[in-house]
Amino acid sequence: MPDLGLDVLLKGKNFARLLGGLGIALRISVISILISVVLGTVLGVLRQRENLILKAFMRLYLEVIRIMPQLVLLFLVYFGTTRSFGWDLSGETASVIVFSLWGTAEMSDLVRGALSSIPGHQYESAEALGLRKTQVYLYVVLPQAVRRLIPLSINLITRMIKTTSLVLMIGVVEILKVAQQIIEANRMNSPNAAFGVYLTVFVLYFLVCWPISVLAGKLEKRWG
Amino acid sequence: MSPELKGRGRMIELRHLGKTYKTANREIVALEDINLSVQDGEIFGIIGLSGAGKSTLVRCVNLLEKPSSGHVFIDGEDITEFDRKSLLSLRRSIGMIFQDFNLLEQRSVLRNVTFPLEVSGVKRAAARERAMELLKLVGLSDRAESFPSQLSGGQKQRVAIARALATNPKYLLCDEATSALDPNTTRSILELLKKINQTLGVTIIVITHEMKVIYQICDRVAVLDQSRIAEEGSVSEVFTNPRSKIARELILPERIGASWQKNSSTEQQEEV
Ligand SMILES: Nc1ncnc2c1ncn2[C@@H]1O[C@H](COP(=O)(O)OP(=O)(O)OP(=O)(O)O)[C@@H](O)[C@H]1O
Ligand SMILES: [Mg+2]
Repeated sequence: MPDLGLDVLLKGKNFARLLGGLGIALRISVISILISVVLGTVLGVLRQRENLILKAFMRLYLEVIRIMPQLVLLFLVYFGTTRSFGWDLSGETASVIVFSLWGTAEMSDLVRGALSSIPGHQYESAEALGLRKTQVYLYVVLPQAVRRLIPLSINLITRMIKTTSLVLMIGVVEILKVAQQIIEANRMNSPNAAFGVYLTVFVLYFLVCWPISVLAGKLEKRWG
Repeated sequence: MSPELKGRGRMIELRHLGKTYKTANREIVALEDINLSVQDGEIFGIIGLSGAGKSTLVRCVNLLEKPSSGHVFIDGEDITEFDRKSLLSLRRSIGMIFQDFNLLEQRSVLRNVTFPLEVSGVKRAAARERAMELLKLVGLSDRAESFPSQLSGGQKQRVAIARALATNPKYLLCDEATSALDPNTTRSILELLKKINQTLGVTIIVITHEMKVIYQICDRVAVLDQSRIAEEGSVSEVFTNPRSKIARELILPERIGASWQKNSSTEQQEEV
């Protein structure tokens, strides 16, 4: 059996440290996801309105978020704000801000798409039944939009969890960072550690994202 | 139409009705000086080519579309002056069905029919009872627990009809209700509308671009051409002696088919 360098993980508290890193990554993901789902839904609904100022603003925002790699955004928020405004953001806060900005943009796209996929005559026939505008949304639009939205937003959530691995670049003690620390510490006595540790990181991320993506697939099949 | 219903007067009346759509770069005139009255208990047809303004006209009757000019009287009241609340309760007294059925896919057949009752605060048990009655009327008692995706087009339209009737409306508006259906299914849906008109006394307005629909169930007809009414009269009158060019165009190709249709409609084809 080839030496995968897995023995490093069994030394001291190495594995516990790795799990701790995963914990921080997940915390960043969960907070950003919650913020993104709420803000993205509000923005997505607002984007249905024919408001020119809002439209211009959303366009600029979405373009910037889409064009900029998340890594650049991370640097911009973490280092940029320190330099320009003198804010001392923690790495975790900076990450949450960047992932929320990104997630909100994507989520608002999904919400808008789901809402506009509901044909106009559905609104019309609901109104013909004597429903108030709020009832039309509550009973007709929302249930259909949510059904379309759930598999798509689960897909977004898995992408967000995966992307949190980027935060190691700005020094959050996060899973890959922890992994790297372990690798550094053991370079002399366990030269294959890099492979083993990264393999473990891969497995851990897989274990988190896989059930979510299976669930997404299932929901898509049932409701698609 | 039974004679005792005939004398009761004009229940839906359109006066100098006009509708102009304003889009970014131009104005589209969809209706111009429409004057019509629909009597209580009749089945009134409106026929015209695509874009003539039929849908716009029928949507002005329950104010889904706000007229640009003119008045809509229902039971003698000018509904263009109604406030929101009166309008909502008015809409419950006017059922409407569409070409695309517009059922709620996530709800069972039964819950589609109880839907308008639920939102207007009717108790669950009472709503259920009423819905089952209506499903029986439209011949779908055994499909109450099915979902719309499990039904054929004709069956979906039957559910839509049951749903439109749930709040016990006096009027039923049908916008191309049979246009997505095959000829046999169309015939059975039209039979059902006729039955509803006769047994429940519901006044029906039928919008169509097919003369045979008019011929099969309507008492009177208006021919709409380029936003205006070209001709109006009893179906037999318009059918045997069309005065306008558009009516002749719509009717003549149908006449040949009609004699055939009369013979074949004896064998009733129910598709339920
Ligand atoms: N919301 C709208 N905005 C702008 N123009 C509209 C709108 N709705 C309808 N129109 C225009 O008004 C005219 C009449 O449309 P309408 O839908 O009433 O025709 P129709 O007789 O029902 O046609 P069809 O048989 O194709 O359904 C058409 O020229 C159409 O393009
Ligand atoms: Mg139409």
